[in-house]
Amino acid sequence: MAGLAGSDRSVSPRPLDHALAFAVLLAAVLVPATFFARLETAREQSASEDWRALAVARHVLAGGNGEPALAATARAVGTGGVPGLSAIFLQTSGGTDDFGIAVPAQLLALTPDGRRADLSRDLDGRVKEAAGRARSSAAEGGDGASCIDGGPVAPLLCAVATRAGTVAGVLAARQDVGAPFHWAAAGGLLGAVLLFLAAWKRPARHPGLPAAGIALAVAAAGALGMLLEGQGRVDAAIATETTLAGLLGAATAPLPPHAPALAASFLLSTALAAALLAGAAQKPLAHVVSDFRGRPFLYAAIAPAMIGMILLIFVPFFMGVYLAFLDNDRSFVGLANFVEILAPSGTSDTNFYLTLGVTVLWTALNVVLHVSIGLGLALILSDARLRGKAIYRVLLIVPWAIPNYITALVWKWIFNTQYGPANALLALLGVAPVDWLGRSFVTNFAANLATNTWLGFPFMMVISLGALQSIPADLYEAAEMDGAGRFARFRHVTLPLLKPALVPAIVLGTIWTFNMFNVVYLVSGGAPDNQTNILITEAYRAFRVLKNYGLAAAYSLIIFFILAAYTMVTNRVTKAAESVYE
Amino acid sequence: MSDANPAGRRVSRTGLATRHVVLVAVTLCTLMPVAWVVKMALSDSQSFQGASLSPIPEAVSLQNAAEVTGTTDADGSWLFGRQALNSVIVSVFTTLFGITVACTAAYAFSRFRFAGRRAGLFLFLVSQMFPGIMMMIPLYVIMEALHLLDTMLGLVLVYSTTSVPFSVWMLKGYFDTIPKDLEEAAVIDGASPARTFWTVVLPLSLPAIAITALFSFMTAWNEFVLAYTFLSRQSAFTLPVIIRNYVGEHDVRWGLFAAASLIVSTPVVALFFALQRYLVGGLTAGAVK
Repeated sequence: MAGLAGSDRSVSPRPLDHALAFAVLLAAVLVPATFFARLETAREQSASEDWRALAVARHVLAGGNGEPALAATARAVGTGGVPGLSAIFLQTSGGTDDFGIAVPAQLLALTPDGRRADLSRDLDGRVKEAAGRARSSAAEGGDGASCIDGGPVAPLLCAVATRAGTVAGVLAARQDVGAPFHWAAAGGLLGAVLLFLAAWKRPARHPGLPAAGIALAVAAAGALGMLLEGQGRVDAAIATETTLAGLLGAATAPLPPHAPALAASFLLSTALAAALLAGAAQKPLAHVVSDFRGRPFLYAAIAPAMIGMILLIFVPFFMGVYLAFLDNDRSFVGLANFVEILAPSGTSDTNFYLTLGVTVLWTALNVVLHVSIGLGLALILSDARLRGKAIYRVLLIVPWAIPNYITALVWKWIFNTQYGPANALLALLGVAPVDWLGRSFVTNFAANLATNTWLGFPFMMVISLGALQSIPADLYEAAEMDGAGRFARFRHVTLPLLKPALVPAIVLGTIWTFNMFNVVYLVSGGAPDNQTNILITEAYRAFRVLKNYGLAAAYSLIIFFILAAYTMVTNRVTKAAESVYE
Repeated sequence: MSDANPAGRRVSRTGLATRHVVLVAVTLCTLMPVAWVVKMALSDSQSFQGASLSPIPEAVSLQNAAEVTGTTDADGSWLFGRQALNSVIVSVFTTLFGITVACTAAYAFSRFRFAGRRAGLFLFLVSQMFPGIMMMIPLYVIMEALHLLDTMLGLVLVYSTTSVPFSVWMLKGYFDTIPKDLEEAAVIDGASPARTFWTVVLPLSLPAIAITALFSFMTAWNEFVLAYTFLSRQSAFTLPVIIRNYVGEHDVRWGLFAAASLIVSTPVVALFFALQRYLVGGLTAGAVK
């Protein structure tokens, strides 16, 4: 029965296991780190390339309209050596229509050697799209520039328009930004191989220490490589002149060193984390590895889910943590985002403590309403002599079945001042209409609460009903014989036996309500002035409305810690509660 | 079912009547919003005016439903069809990915005791509890850099952050209930663990896998905020995004919203009622034990 069911093996790990465990740890931290560093570099470089392409496009615009003039410009730009350039194009204005709007004339696209470029239908469409955007930007008084990033496959497309409606543009391939990334990756690989050999040769007494040292050295080498890459580029990028030579000089200059410096600092800091992690977690992980090595089936069974989890959850989580320490320009700002949330100044955009208070109130009220309504209905429904209980049960769980974003929007309509049934009901009772979703905190909060109560009681009802049905009838008979009254039976028989089912449901319900984004976001939308926002909708507002990614990431991290603390406390409490009844 | 009556064994006729009154009242509160939506969807723009408590439409018209399903884009191609197809593709592939990856892992977690098992299970559980919005910011940054915003693949990957852990837990819960005798017999006959899983366990688990898949599908089909954030191109929208857009900041079209809501939610509501008894079992099995 090798390996099946319950065989708990504890084999002491071999050196190979330590090496493998270290490689896993190194990969888990450095892969996301280098990936992030690569993203940063790519982002910065693409901004620089857009700028470069626009500079060339402006030059084309200045170079004259006819085909011979354009061909001369194309050859000049081509010999100037703009990296990746595949075509330039010019679209003159064909006059204006009856409404005074510029009408585009024919499009002329030339390759760097001055010949007509053959644009595919798809590319032709995209060129016209970029030209259209540039033209409308110029018409609205903007800079008249527009770039379409084709991603890794399609070319970069930048266009500049004049007020008169003439558009010039450039098609260029994106440059490879792999250099710093490859540096770090190569370093990491070398480190892993070195450690593998070291651990294989001699069983290390403290495998964590050399591992940590090598991790640091590797990352330092990678970071240094990035810094070296970035050095010496500043001066070249600053020079901008209107002559062709100056333009091309600036246009062909590599990107400024901002991104490599940031990427390097990120790599260094995560390497530190890797070192600490390697020191702390290598030993237990080596046990895991050693356990798995004897059972290849286990490897194969768990690997897909684990790899998926690491790529989809672990890596983004790490990046989220790092984003919380950056400002919007992706510069490292230390704890500034957390300070802005937890110690808000007069200029802060958010009020954490108000939101926290509202969230707690929101969660507590909802859970109390869900449990009391759900349990009350379950008690009524569990009566054996009640007829039609199956029908009631089916009809009462309808709210659970409906997608909750739809429910939220329906209730937004119910509380509509003009059309909503809520005010129609008030009118029936002779009460003046209320502007539910207007300027009052109380009515907005009440609307959210009503929505979520409607949405949430069926879950508690179903859980309670299931638990009630499993309570044996003779317990009640015994209690009744002992002279217990109705309330005493509920208090001393029903409630204790409900507890094992109800407590986990309440814990789960609390977490759901705490995170109930859809209701708050779609019903009140935080009105008035974000006062009814809960933590999760406030984090979303920081992300989408304030567009402050760092602040939003810090907010998310704080929510994470609150939930983690709650889960740990309730885990302990529910375990204690269960042990009483076991 | 036992004839337990926790609130008291002797209930008078009037007591029973009071219960029916309470139940009917609560049921009415539960069903009225649904009835109003049906009314709103079936009313045409003329007859739907002003607030009213009546759930009966004054005139029945399919104008809203026709307008919702008949949307076209600038090229004249069928926009609603495209968006419905997007929803189906995203939900189906999210489900397939989640189930494929989760099946074997759930089996391993259920049947084998190995170092790291508890930690692994805990990670799956915790990642299921924490809200998608928390991962949204880094995921957005990654998807933006990989040019996966506005794509079906990007949305499938984002949804998989919930569908994989959900499927692992549901399936592990089911595998726990299968007696081990069959597998032990197979092992004694000389079958490898992989073969045991493939030929003995998997055929037995097909119903549970189907149910997990359907729940996974429903979750993806009903997901709103991630789609709303990650998609900006009309032709890439999934159905929840278009429903939300009928209730815009400035242009609110309640009739179209109601019709679209009915069309989109009817299949999942039916699915929910078909499957709800399994959902309750799956949710509480792990926690109550």
